Amino acid sequence: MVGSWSFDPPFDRNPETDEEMEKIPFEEYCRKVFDPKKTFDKPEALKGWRHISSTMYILSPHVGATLAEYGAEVIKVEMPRLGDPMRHTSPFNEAYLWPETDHRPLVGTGFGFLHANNNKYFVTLDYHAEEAKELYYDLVRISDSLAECYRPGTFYRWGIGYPQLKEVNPRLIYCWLGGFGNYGPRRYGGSYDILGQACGGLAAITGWHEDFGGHPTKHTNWIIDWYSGLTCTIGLLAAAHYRRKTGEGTMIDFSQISASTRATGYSFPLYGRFGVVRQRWGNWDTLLCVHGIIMTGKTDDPEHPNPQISVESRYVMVSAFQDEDFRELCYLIGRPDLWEKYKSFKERVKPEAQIEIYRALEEWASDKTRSEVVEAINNAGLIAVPVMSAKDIYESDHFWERGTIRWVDDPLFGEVLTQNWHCKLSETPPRTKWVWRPIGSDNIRIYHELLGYPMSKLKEFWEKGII
Amino acid sequence: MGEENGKTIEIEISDIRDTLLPRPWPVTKPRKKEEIYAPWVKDPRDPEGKYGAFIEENISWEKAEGKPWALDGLLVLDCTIWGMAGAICGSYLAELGATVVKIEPLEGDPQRYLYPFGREEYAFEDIYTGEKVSPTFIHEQRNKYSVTLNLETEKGRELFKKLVTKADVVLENYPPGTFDEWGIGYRQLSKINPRLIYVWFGQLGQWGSMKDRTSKYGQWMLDPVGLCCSEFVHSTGYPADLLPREHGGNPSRSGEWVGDIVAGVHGTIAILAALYYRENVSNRGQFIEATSAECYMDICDFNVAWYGFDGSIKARTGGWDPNLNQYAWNPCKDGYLMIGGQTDRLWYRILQVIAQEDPEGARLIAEDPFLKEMAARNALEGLIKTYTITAQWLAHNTRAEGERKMVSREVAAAPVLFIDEIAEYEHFVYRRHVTEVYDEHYGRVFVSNSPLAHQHKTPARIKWLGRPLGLDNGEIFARYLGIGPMELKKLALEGVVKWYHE
Amino acid sequence: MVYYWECECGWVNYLDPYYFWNWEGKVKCAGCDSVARFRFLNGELLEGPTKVDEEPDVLPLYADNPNDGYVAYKVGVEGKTRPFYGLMRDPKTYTGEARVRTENLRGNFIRSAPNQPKKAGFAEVRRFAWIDRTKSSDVWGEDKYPGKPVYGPDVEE
Repeated sequence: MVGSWSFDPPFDRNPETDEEMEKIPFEEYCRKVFDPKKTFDKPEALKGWRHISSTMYILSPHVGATLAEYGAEVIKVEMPRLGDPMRHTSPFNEAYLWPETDHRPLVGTGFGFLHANNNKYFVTLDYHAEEAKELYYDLVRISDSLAECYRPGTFYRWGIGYPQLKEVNPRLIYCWLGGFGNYGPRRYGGSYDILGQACGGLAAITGWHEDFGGHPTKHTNWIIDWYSGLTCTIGLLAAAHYRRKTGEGTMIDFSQISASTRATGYSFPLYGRFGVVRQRWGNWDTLLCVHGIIMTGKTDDPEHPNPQISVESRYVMVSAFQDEDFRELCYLIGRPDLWEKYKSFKERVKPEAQIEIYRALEEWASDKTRSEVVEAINNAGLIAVPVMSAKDIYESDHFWERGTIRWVDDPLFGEVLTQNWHCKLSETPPRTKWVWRPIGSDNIRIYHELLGYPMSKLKEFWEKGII
Repeated sequence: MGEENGKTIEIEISDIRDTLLPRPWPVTKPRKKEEIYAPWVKDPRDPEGKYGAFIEENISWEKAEGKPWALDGLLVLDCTIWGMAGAICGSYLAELGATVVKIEPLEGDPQRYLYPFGREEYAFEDIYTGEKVSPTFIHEQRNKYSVTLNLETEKGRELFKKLVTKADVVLENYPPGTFDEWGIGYRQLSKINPRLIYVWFGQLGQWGSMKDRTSKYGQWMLDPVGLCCSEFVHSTGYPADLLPREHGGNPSRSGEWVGDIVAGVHGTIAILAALYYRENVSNRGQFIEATSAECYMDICDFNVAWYGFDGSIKARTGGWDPNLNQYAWNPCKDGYLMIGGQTDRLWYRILQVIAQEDPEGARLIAEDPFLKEMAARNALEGLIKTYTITAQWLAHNTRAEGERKMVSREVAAAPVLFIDEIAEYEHFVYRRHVTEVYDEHYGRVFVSNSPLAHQHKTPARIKWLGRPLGLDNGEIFARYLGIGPMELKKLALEGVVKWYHE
Repeated sequence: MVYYWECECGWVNYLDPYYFWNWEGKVKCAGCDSVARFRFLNGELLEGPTKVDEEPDVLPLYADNPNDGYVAYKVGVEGKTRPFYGLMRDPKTYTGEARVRTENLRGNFIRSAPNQPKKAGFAEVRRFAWIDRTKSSDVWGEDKYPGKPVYGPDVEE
């Protein structure tokens, strides 16, 4: 079967035969092979893979969304009427997209639902009903993988846990995602992203130290949901690779707190060997110096009505940790004494040195705007980037030409600006087709057209409130 | 202070050498399985204990030993240095069973020498040679073979090409075009091995107006450059009216290089998707690019989409989440406690707990008509009111008390834990989220475990940690290139490889 | 009574945890403009509220009156509550004219909200009060109903 398909690429991307591709400069070559405009001309990596997403919030839906971006057919199962609680979630209760849902007729679905449910098909099913079990088995029989996030044992009680489903479909890759996992003393604890951040270790090392007046700082996005969902997808796809050889499915018991713990770098070896408890170190770096974020005196547009632009867009990331770079930086800010004092890399990274160096940098920047600081440092041949807000990203050519952000012309919601064109793949790039759909909008497509249930039966389910 | 064999031992740390004494871990042993699954433990979802028994029998980390490896037979050449993205990607693949060979320049990956605050005391020493290595390197380069190969020499590149003919995946993160210039970029390698999956990791990209660049002295761009350009830093941290700007009220980066970590994870998915496509459809590899800025932007919620929606730029809200109520950590008697419960069911349970000690405050929330609906509670005023009253309750509760009271009502709550507390948290010890690895070269090392360690068929496992420089030269060169010790010595003299001295 | 200060006038002023956790100074009540001194240490109220006849150091972030149908001052009402710097756009959108029509950056129509009281500011934010469902549009049009939220001192035009 390997390579035996009639594979006819839409244009010749084979570097072996393309003379021209070999001669052009490397950057041009990259532009060609990664061209975001050709995304929909190219095939999908996971075509034919079917995934059931019995999920809520961000963590477990993101597994399905990632697979769907790579081309899998993903069926999201929600509770009838209410749907995913994330549909009712929006920052400060502000941003909602139409059309309406049954549950909240005047509002629509909130932006919290965005990006974790791309390209999915939305069906509804009330697992509590007896008929639902058979329906679910039918779905599982024709699916390759499943992700769920209910508390441990809930699916088992409903008759659709891993022990039961592996009898229905032994090839099924079953992912459970949650906070504390399926076994252990606190297995029944609920979990959220912020819980993972709090007790997994990420909070302990993020933000300013209390000696500077800081508190543990929450990562603004639901990082532990998103990033754990991705990590579990690794496990799922690796299991798919294994299944191809052996035909065996598996169950992944995924704890998002563990993913947070995994992302703490050197903290645990340091504690285990030396008994040193790693603390927060603000906007500076514990391994490199200068490699941190400084505040400048002014913003570029102090008159703008939005405080995020007129007040907050005033931070710059400066990186000059190698000796020559640091020397150049010291001369640039008129403090050659700092270079004399901290000539060696090791000396510079010491906490006292960092405090002195960054204070000097901020002093130098105190009468300059953000772009002046970035320009001055870049013109000296060093590295500095502004701390970009959404506006800066929207206005940068870079992310547009790379296709990182894009207006998706959603069939239902009109224009939605999306930011999730993450990895660039030359042959099978991931893509967004639609951002989401209303609750149960694909009931007929899945139950009738895919599973072949007659419409009369679906009507009966509808009346009973099962779908 | 800990208990071992029934007697208490005390460790007083007054000198750096004291920290090298063996310390017991865990100080408090987790409860036994029988106790956790005892019949009197309230367990409404699994009254007969069948599910728990099944999981313990099949999924538990204790049963992982001897199970097969998911990515058995995959050969990955990891040429990344400095950054964390390639390290994470390679480690995830290696923990799942791939053969990952870390190809380092002769002086080694600079990551080996990045000590916290430049303190060389915190180095791990090879038991045999005394060679020092940083805790970062130890932790992030798991299950990888270490090989030295000077890619700047013609001979080195020739050997690398020979390795590539057998490889499935190549990872690299050199400045854009470096490998192409050296004649070992994707363009050239895909001719030698069309099945090759080639991944480049970076901060902003290999192409485009803001692509990765080096300083005029050749310094690379490293994380958090990508984080700053992904909108993340701008909206993380405490707003300036909650904390003064000089004292933490400014945008914050993450404590760890999470931009690289996310790029590494995203890249790993791309590799496995490409692998699936290669095996099932095309029989050809591809060129992949994963950058910290874009990968992190992908997971940065709806921030960019919201700007497109009505021009809003997400602001910093500190320990509170602007999207959900309750969903925040707030200060308590001895630290910070996180409480989460958005749906009506959970939200009112939180109130019930608070009402036990502060009925007046709970009433103020419970009666407010604006707080009756799930989404309406997310309005800024709703957050201020809810968290103020919750924090008052917290001021009279410690983390442990608060957690116990909330969890007893099935509300998700957890303390903000420090590293040492995580190391002793019973649940994490029981599940081995943190674990000790007995490494041949570094002795007992305490690390965080892979989150993929709990699987029925192919769990991820740590076999060894970051290896001494060039330890596996002999093995790898013999296995894939047929180069024995005599020739290897010659190569070492030519400056192509480096010898590992024992 | 540590973090929510129930003033004698019936208004409750919310002293948010991160700002006031370790703090000492004077706060002005949003309802009756009286000033009281507080001293907090690690969340504990050590002193206060002690009425003083001095200028305040700071205003509360939010205040409401439970005895009057939870009328409230949103953040950033001049002289009553202090502005919150963590806002996503022009702060005036929160206390100014009601926004019932949303357009995206390209100027295309996205969504709209039902009629709002004039000074509702950001219309979608707090629409789910019980009054929302029980009052007819006639009442909304008149902008007068019991328990109407106060969006600023000058709301009666």
